[in-house]
Amino acid sequence: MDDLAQQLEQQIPRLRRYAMALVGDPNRADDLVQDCLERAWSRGHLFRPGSDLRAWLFTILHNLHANAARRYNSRPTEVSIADDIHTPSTPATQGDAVALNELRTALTEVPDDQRQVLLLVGMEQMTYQEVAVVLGIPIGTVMSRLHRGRERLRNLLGSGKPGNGRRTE
Amino acid sequence: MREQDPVISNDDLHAYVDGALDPSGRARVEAHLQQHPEDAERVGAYQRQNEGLRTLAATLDLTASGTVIRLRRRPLQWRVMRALPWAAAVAGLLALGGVSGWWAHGALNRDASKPELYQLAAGAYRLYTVQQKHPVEVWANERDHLQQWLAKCLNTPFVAPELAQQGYQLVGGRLLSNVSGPAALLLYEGADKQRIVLYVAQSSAWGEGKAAFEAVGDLHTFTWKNGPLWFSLAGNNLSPDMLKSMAQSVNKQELAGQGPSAYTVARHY
Repeated sequence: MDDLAQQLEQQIPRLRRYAMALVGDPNRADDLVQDCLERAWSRGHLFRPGSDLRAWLFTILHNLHANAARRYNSRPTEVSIADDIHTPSTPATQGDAVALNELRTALTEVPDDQRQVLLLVGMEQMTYQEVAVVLGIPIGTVMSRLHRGRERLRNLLGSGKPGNGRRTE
Repeated sequence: MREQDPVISNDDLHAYVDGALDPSGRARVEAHLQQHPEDAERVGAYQRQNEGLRTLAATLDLTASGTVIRLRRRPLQWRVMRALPWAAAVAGLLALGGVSGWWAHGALNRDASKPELYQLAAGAYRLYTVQQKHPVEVWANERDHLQQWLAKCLNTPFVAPELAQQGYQLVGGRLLSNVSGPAALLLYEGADKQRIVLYVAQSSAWGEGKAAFEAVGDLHTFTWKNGPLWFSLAGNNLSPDMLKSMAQSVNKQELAGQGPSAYTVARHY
């Protein structure tokens, strides 16, 4: 169990980063990570040493997120991602910074299931197989969600008007 | 476009973007992209998305680094402690890095009756870095004792951070008093005998606020909050990059310092 505590701890920054990107709101992200850790801890006996702890934790986090989303029946995201991060008005690399803000906004416009795949692949750099395990879906579904998500993002970023096309799909 | 080249599917293009193809698969896709500029453009867009997501990840990491999550003893829970101005500081810093004239020259004084932390750090710098015999109360060879003592006085877990990566060795530390209560001062020395100080005060006494750079003459300071503590780094002509690097190191080590406590608490179950 001591080992598990230590290993859980190592995963916290990644969990938190992902949760923030997923739900947008830092407070909700913290709640999600906290719930995830509690559940992982209380079910530590179910974890097989030697298997992939990160995938296990991400799976737990996803189940909790799905439950919460069902419970509140909330919109995919309410707040732009990490909106407590101060965005400099005159960034040194203005092009990049502008693009990053657009990306944040655009992500909130991507449906939840597609955003999960986009983030797990693009941000967490998981393999398609790992994503399939974490989300509990066939790999073919991973690929189709990835495709739709990337196309959605491409349209949003390309148009320069993230608000467009919100409910057109 | 898929009809023209049934060998290359959308899945192949995505796998190419994500580096999931073997060399022969990569070569096939690259040959395809040569012939299909519209697909090449799509792949380029996907690649930029991935780059953007990784940049976003780095930004979020900085925010997360200001947060401490600990295992609470009873009830069994992980507890999240938030500390945010750090992210703003770093974002501002990244924007301003390398630009001259960005120091705030003390114009931000809000409450004239209470000094700013950077002023206390600057004062401590002037007083103690010039001392040859007694710059510190507890020397670095008693680091454990120093940390425990200061942690007790500040009433929070505390690590005397290493700044060796930036070329500074811990000389030692001392307990100080300011208008709001106890504070700690750590003193470091570089290979060229240049000294810098890290001033540490309790968040409970100093409250919220924005991280900031201030300059007092040639003395450059960076002040920020991380969880239960406020920090102010001060050194002669320290560059923004250097301050940033040091502050990140401090945060990382304080976070790790909170971490093992979660571990020790966990052992009691």
